[in-house]
Amino acid sequence: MWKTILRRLMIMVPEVIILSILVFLLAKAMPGDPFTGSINPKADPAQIKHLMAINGLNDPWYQQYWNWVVHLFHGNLGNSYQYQEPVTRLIEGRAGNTLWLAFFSMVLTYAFALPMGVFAGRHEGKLPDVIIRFYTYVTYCIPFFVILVLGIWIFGYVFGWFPTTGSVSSDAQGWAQTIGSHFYHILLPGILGALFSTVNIVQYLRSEVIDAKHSDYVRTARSKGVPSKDIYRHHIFRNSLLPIAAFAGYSITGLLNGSIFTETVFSYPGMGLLFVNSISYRDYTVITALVLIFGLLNLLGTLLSDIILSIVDPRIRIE
Amino acid sequence: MSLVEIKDLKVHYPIRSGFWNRVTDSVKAVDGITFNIEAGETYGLVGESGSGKSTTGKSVVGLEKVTSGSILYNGKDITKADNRRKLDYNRDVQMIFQDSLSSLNPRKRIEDIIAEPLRNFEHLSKDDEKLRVLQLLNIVGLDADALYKYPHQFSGGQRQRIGVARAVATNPKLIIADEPVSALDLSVQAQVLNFMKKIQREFGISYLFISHDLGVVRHMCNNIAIMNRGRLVEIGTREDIYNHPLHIYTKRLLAAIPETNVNQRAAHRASRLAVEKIYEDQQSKYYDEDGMAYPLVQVSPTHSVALPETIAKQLASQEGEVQA
Amino acid sequence: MAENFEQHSDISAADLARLNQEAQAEATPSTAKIIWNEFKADKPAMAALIIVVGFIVFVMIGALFINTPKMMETNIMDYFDKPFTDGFWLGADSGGRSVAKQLIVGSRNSIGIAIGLTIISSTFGIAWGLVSGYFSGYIDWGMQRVYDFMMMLPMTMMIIVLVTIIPHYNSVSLTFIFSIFYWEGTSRLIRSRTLAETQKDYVAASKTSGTNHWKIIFKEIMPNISSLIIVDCTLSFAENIGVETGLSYLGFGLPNQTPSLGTMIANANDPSNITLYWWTWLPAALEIVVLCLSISYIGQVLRRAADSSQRQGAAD
Repeated sequence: MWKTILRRLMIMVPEVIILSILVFLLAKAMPGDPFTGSINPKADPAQIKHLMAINGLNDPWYQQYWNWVVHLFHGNLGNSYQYQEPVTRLIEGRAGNTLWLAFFSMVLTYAFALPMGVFAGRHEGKLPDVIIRFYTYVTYCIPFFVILVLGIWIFGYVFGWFPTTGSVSSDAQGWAQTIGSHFYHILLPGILGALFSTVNIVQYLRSEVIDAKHSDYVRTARSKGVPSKDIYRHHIFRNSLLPIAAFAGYSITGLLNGSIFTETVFSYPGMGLLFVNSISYRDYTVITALVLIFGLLNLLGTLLSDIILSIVDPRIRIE
Repeated sequence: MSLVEIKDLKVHYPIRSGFWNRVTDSVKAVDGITFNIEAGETYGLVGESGSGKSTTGKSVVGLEKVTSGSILYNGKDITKADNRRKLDYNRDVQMIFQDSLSSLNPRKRIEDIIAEPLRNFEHLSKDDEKLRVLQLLNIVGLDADALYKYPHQFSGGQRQRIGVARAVATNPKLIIADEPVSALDLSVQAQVLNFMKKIQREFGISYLFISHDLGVVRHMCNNIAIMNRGRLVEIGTREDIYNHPLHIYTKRLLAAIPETNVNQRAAHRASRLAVEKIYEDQQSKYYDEDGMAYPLVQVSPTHSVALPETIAKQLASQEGEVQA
Repeated sequence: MAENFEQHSDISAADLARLNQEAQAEATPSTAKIIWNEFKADKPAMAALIIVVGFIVFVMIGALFINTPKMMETNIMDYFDKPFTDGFWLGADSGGRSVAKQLIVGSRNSIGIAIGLTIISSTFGIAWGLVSGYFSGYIDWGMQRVYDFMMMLPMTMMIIVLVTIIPHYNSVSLTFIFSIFYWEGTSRLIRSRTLAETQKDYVAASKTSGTNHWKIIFKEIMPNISSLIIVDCTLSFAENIGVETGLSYLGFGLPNQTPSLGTMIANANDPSNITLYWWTWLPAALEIVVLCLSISYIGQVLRRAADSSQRQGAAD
C-alpha cells in the first residue's frame, strides 16, 4: 500500500515541475508586462527598462523561472495590481468560499446518489429505475452552465427562493446569522452542482447492485431467509462502499473545475470568479497562482481516488 | 541440413518487484531446448498446458521475443527481426491457431482473410488473387460462396479449414500448428487432421505440431519431443516414444490416453495407477533438486532422454531386455 | 508456385467469373448495414436523428442568407423589442438586434465548432488510444504519463489563458485550442478496448501474415472497435456543444461580434435581462438542451444497435 502511494507521489514530482514551467511560460507569453498598470502609464520608457533590469526580467527564462520558484517556496506569489494586495492573501480570502461550496456539493452528491443507485438497481427495469436512468441521462448530456442559468432563473428570480448573488448577505449580524446566511447562499449552487455530478456514482452503484443480486452469496443469503433490506445493507452496499468512496477524488476535481461557471452565474466570490475577473483585468500574478493551485488540487483529487482504489483492488497497485 | 534448427532456445519473462520495479526474477517459459525439424516431416511437440510448448511455437514463427539461443532457418538466425524481414520469413513459415474464432478477424470477409498473406508477400493482380483464394477454399473443401461471408457464419471445423487455407496461401515450407484441433469435436478432429495430412503430401509442407494429446500426435507425427516445465524431457521417433518411453513424465502422458476398449478398462486403470505410484515414488530420480528436468542424454541414434547418464543407460538396457 | 495450386484444386481461371457471381449472391451484409437496420427500427431515434440533422442543415443554409455584420449593427429603435413585434419573431436584444437571426448564425457557429472539435479531438484520441494500447511497454508507459499530465491540467482555465495569449483567434484556431484538451476521454476508452483486442489471435495471425504494425492497428483492430468509436463520437459531439458555448458564455469563446449560443445565454448575466427580457437568452438555452438531449439519445440507440449487431455476430 504505502509503496503504491510513494511511487504515485514520485510520479507526481515531474508532473508538478512540468506544470509549473508551463504555467510560468504561459504567464510570460501573456501580452503586457507585470508593471503595466502598477506604475504611471506616462512613465519614461528608460525608467521601465531600468525597472525590468533590476527585477531580473532581462535574464534568460530559466533564471527567471528559478527566481519565481524560490519566491514560490517562500510563499511569495507576487502582488495583484487589480486589488493592490499580495496574491496569497487575496486567494486565502477566496479559497475558503470555493472549497466550502465544493465540499458541500460533494456531500450532497453522495446523499443523492447512494439511495438513487441502490434504488434503481433494486427495481431494475421497473418505473423507478426508468425514471432514475432518465435523470442521469439528462444530467449527463446537458452542459452544466446551461443548467445553472436555468436554475438561477427559475429558483432564484422567478420564485425568489434563493439569493442570486454573493456569498453572505450584508445585513447578517452575529455569528449565527452569518453562518446561516453563508449556508443559504451556497444552497442552490450546491444542490445544482450535486444533482449534476451523481451520474457516475448512480450508474456504478446500480450495476453493482444488479450484479450482486445475481451472485451466489446473495442468493445463498436470501435462501437462508435473510430479509432483503439486510441483504442490501450488509452484503451489497458494504461491498461497493470503498470503490464509491474513490469517486470522491474525481468528483471534487470535477466540482472545482465547474466552480468557474458556478461562481460566475451566482456572482459567488470564490477562486473561480476571481480567475474570470483577473483575466478581464489581465492580472497575471493572480492568474498564474490560480492555475497552479487548481492543477495541484486536481492532482491531489486523483491521488486520493487512486489511493482508495489501490486499497480496494490490489491489481491497480501500479505496475 | 535440417529445415529448422532450434538451439538452446530460451524465453524468459521478467518478474519486476520492489520499489524501483527492478527485474528480480523471471518466469522460464522455455528454458534451453534444442531440436531440429526436417523438411516434409511432422514434428510433434507435446506437453501439458504451461509447459512452454506454445511459446516455443510462437518463437519459431516470430511472434515471441526470444531471450537467448537461436533458431536457424536455412542457416540464418531468425530470432532477429531484421533477418526475418530480409528473408520474407513468414512467407515460408506460417501458423495455425488453436482458437479458430479468435484467430479470424470478425470484421473481415473470408476473401480478405485468406488473401492477407498473399497481399503482403505475393502482390498478385486482383483476378489472380481471387482465383488463388477460390482454389485455396477448394483445397480445404469449402464452397466458393464462402468468399463474401464473415467468420461467425461458419462452424468450428469450417473455420479451422479457413485458418489452414490462410496458412497455406503462400505455399510455405513450415506451418506451426498450435493445438489445431483441440477445440473441435472428435468427429471433426479427424477430418481436419486428415486434410492437413493431404495438404502436407500435396505441397510438401513440414508441420510443427503442438498438442497435449498423445493420441492425436501418434496419428500425425514422425518425430516427437516431450516438453515439461520449459525443458525437453524426451525426444525420439514415434516408435521410441510410444513403445520405449524412458522418462516417467512421458509414461504418465501415455497412461493418460483414454482407453476406448471397454473390456480393458479395469486393466488400463490399474496400469495408470501403477505409473502414478512410480511417479510419486521416484520423482527425485527424474528431476534435479529444483524440480527441473536434467539435460538430454542420447540413448540411441534417434532417442534422447533427460536423465543423468548412468540411470539413462541402465533404463535403456532394461527396456532393451524387455523387448528382447 | 501457382501451378502447385492449379494442380491440387479443380478450379481454374475459367471458373472465376461464375464462382465470383455465385459468391456475391450469398454475400452477408456489413456490420454498418446491420446497425443501420436496427437504428431504423427505432422510431423515436429516427425522429431525433431527423430533427438534429434537419436543424443542422437548416442553420447551415439559413446562416448563408443572413448578413452577419449588418445583423450585428445596433439599432436603438428596436431596443428590447418583444417577440412577434416589429417583425421580430423572437424579439430583439439590448442593441435592437434580431434574436431569431442571431440564433441561426449563433447555432451555425456553435454547432460548426462542436463538429470540428469532435472530428479533431476524436481522431486524435482514437489514434492515441490505439497506438498506446497496441504497443505495450515503454511506448504505452510514456503515452500514459502524457495522459496523466493532461488530466491534471485545469482545462477550462488553460483554454481561457491560451485564448488571451493568442492575439487574433477565430473559430478555427479556437477549435484547435479546444482540441488540445478534449481528446483524453476518448483515448482512455479506446486504449482499454485495444488492450483487449491486441491479445486476440487474429492480431497474431496478421503479424505472421506479414502485415505491418500500422496496418494491423488501423485496418485490423480499428474496425473491430468501430461501434465503440461511433457511439463515443456521437456522445462527444453532444458534450462538445457545451465546450464552446460555455466559454463564450464566460466571454472567452468566440469574439464579440461573432454570435454564438454561449454569448446569447450570457445575456442572462444581467439581473434585469434574465427576468424582464427573457427572450434574449432563453431560446438559446432551450436550443442547447434539446440539441444535447437528442444527440445523446441517438448515441444511446446507436450503442444498443451496435451491441445487438455484435450479438447477432456471436449467435451464429
